[in-house]
Amino acid sequence: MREPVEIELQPLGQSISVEPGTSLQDVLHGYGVEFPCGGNGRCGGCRIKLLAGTLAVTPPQAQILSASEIEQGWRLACHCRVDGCLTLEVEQWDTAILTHHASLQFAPRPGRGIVVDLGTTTLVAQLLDLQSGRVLAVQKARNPQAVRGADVMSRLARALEPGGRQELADLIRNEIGALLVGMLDSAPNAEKAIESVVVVGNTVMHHLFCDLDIESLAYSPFDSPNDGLQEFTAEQLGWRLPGSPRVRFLPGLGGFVGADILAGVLATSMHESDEVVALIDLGTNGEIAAGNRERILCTSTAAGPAFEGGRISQGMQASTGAIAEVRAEGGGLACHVIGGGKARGVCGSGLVDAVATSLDMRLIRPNGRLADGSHSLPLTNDICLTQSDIRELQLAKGAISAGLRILLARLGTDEEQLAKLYLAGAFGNYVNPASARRIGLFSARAERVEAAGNTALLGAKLALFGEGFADMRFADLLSRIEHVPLATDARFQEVFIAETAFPGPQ
Amino acid sequence: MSDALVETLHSSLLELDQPKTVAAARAICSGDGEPSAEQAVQALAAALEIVGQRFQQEDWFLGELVYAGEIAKQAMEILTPHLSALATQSSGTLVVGTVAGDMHDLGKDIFITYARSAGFEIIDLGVNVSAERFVEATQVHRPLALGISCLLTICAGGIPQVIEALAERRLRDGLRVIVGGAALTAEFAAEAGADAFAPDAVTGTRVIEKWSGV
Repeated sequence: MREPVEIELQPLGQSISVEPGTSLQDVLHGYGVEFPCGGNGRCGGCRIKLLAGTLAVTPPQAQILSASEIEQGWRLACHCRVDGCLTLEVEQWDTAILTHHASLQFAPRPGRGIVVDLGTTTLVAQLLDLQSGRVLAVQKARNPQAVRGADVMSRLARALEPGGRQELADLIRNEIGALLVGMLDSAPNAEKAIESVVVVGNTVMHHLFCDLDIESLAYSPFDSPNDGLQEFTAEQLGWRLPGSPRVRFLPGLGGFVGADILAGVLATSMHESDEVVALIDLGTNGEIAAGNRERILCTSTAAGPAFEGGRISQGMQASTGAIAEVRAEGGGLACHVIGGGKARGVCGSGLVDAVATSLDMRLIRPNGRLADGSHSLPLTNDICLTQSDIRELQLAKGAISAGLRILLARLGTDEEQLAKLYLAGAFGNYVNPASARRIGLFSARAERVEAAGNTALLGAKLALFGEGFADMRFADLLSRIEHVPLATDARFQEVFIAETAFPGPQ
Repeated sequence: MSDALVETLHSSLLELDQPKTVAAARAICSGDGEPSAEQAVQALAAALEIVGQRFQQEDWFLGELVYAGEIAKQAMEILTPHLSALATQSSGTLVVGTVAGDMHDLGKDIFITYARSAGFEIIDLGVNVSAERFVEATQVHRPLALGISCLLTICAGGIPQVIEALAERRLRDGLRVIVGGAALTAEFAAEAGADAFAPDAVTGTRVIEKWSGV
């Protein structure tokens, strides 16, 4: 075995030690580098700058990057393997926002700001220079509320118990407070004032963070009167941040659809689009928004956690040991395992790939049944998909695609006419869009499907930087967004049942 | 005697062939009474039994389950006017609803399709049904059994509330309560004071058939 090599990450000032031959994609995702196209070398979203050391320029990189960019040291992290010690610049701001948001009203001002994406499972925070727009530091952590249940409903159940609401609010406020202090310490000038903190998340995360009454979210019709903008001082939250900034949790859109989807609308410029576009955000919940500059509809679906490897017999999150990709090879299935070692389970992207490939190979019938009449499909010697796992995926994808179809029908259009379909959340980073299309999660034309990365975080940055959003209430935008509760749609059940089937041979 | 028609009815339902199933039901009704509508209904019930087995064995999924139920319903509508008075007698009345706070009706509706095919009369209270409405419906209809559906874990606490409310009004004795839905387990059902747990629509229907002595 060869000696491990060191990778120094700037401007984070962190050093990591990896085995030679390790893929940068496997390593850098944990440090805030996003892989919008899933690491296929198509979008250039994962570009990083080589400051010291060498990284080979593979043909896909030569296609995406110009000769002068390569000369300056730019590489695509998804196509680089580590050979020796490196120093890398891994800030994402320039590529992720400025290139896709030429219309952004960016008003440089002195000082620093923070954005936080408060997910049901994961927390991500970024420290930003408000003058240059640069990302100064990134921190990630698990949502500590997960000890009280993986999904929003179990968190709500806990919050309804005596003392539960206080416990969950304390857990998340303390964790984010510590995360932000750690992030400031990792960047230069830790004592420099923070001007503003913007937090986004789904409606349940919003209420639990803001310590609001959650009764209205726990019972039908699942709509809270308190999902508007919430403002705090850092002191009120028990956070010791230089400059005592205002902390704002952005408003939600109705039902379970929260500020993270408002951020998604901003990040995809849906509210400025002439044509109808749609956004699917697949996290622990599945949320959908669709519309244009005139009108936007949004909804949440009870998709369940299958796309994150949840409720799958050998399912796991996308971490070391997870089967993350599956493709046909030599008449069988070939699996890529994160980290390259022995497979420990299968994550959402691997599940979608495995089923898509098996549909093509006629190992699974369009009705979801394993074609050989058995109840399990081996992926490797140790890991298999069971018939029930495939059923879970059918339920999850049926809920999402039915939701999308119903929103578009209400807008008087359909997927065929959709100008753009943005895939955010777990999708953007992991799930192969071609596989998602093959299992029938959506039917939009491949060239109109775009992986959009963490749109919650992107949108939060736009809110922080945007000139027109000074009060962060988004009153005008919210007046054009309507929440559609799917449970009350007469057609939902019929469409959902039909959408649990997979598309036939293609 | 044309047992072939009954056989066609049975097999075409299992092939999910709606036109053929409906055509067989019509042919039986326009015949000379041989085979009888009663025989046809028995064949449908036997086919639905197999549908249930296929669902439990994971060979079939929700789509097939719902579609088979729908085809059987259409065939039943054709056959019912031709049944003798004795055969049209309801196997019993069921009051069915989804628990308070929960808006899901899919599982409940599949159960209703199968229970109706088995000859039960159904009073469907819909979704988000309060304990009070379950009590009222029980008072009015005096059903053989009460069916409560629940998909959301957070709403499951509403089930013991319904059962307690029934006991308070002295309606619990002689009434059977069956519960089902993704949020529930057999253990929960027992703890909540229910008489039975239905892991799926077909099993649930079979439990109620046992109760009614069909």
